[in-house]
Amino acid sequence: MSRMVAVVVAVVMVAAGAGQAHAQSAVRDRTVTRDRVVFVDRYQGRDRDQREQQTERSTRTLKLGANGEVYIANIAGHIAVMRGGGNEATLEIVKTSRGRTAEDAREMLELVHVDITERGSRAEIKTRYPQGEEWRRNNRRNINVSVAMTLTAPAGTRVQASSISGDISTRDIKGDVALESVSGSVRISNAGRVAAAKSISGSVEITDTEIEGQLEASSVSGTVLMRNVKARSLEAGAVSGNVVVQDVSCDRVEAQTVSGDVQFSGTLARGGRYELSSHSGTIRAAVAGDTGFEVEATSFSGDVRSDIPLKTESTDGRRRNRTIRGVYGDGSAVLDLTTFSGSIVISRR
Amino acid sequence: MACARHVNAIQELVDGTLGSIRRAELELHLEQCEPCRRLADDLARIRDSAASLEPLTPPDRVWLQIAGRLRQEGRIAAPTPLAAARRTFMPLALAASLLLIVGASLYVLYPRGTAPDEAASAGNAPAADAVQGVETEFRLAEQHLQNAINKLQEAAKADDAAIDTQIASTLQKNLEVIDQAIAESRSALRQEPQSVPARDSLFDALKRKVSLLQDTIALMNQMRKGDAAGAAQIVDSANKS
Repeated sequence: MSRMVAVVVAVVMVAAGAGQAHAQSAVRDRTVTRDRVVFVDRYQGRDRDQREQQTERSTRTLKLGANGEVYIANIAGHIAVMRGGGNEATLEIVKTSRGRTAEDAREMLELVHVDITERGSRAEIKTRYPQGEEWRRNNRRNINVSVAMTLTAPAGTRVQASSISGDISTRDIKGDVALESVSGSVRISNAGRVAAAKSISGSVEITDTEIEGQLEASSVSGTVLMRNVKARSLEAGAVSGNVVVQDVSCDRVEAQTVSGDVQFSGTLARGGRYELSSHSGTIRAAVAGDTGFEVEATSFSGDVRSDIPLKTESTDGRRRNRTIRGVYGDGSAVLDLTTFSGSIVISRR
Repeated sequence: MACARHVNAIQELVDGTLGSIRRAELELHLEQCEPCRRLADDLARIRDSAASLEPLTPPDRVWLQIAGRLRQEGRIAAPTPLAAARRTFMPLALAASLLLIVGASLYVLYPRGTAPDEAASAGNAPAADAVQGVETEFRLAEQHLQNAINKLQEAAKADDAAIDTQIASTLQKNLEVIDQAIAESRSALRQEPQSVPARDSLFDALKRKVSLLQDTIALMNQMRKGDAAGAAQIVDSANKS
């Protein structure tokens, strides 16, 4: 506390109108220390279900430098990281609790903390809920508090973020990005390097991104979408989710799912290899541009069809094809399409 | 299955590029290790059969595809228009030949691609032993994957309380999706033992199950390591609210 210079302002605004259903009040504290400024706003009101709601909004400045690193671990609530100017990062944290009474909501809000540790150009931000003895002492079955974080950071920042039930997104961040959510979605836009993009039940989207190396994205039951992506190679996988690959520029694409569909659309790279597979879903390859390709499309029990005229090397000769091997143009790219019971359709976009 | 650490040396032995000391060591090992001995025999047969084939001129597209693969592996840079105009094909052809030789070995060893009978009939190799070897490899690979799945499932069951009910339900449903794919593939293989799509599908599904179970256990560890004591309950309540 000796480093604290002042606790400056406390403003109380009561915004409650007599006839308003969502009665609210707000308080602002501003804390200035030698190396940081923290604003804390507190709101009180009712949500749509008429439960009492408490919100606490705080802002913190982090000195990460141009190429710093940030690690964020959250449990419930979204994480959004976007590019800002300068060498400092600004973190906005919004804690929201809902309870039977205002007191109940306020108590819960106090039980959840966001720990921020700065070491050099690295910052760790972790949400901490009561554990073990603390949990029992408070005698609560549920703690209904979510924490939303919005970080504005220099473009070169490396970001590692994980959340259990919240969405995670980054925009215009060029440092290494590794995002993992359990039930939330993962969205990466205009990234420079992607180390990981994973979710279990949420969707995973990577768009408008150009990286030098390999790009991997996966979800268990959500859709995996890659659109307007340039990378040396690309891997996208799901179990029951769909995989959609649109307008990518890659020498190698692997897209796999078990019961979902796989959709590929865009131009092929000369010498590129495209392996698309699904056990029971449909594979649709809509090829644009004039790059030639050699295709082998095989299914155990699904139909295989090409709307593009191929110099056919072989089909299995049945009324409905299970296998097509053929060449289009100079055959410089390879399309390897496999299903077990799903259909395969090759067409022109 | 052949010992992983000896596979490269066995390939070099068959290619005739293994040094005398390593060759002596490997021969000692081959005397004691039947799977490695079988692999060396299979590769030697493939080499001999390939040597007896008529020269084959590959279509132009093969060179383009090989160039693409070399570029993907970073062995050659993407050609600039000027460089492309000046390039000579000799070094590429040499590299491509090497790649084809290595690729052919891997193709035989990796459990994906042509069915055993097709592999045998496509070349001139004496079929029966090689086919037997490859089929044994498939069975062993399947067994290894199944063992891994069993162990992972045990580990996952031992601590499944670490995950909240909704996520556990999602994971369980998706494991069932994979189990169905495995069952369908196995059933198809019983009907058509030489079916390539059925075999590929079985291996893909088995590998996918291993991967999902690994992810599940990693998730449990993460939740235990972090704020796991209440995380599951918190997420449960957050999802319900």
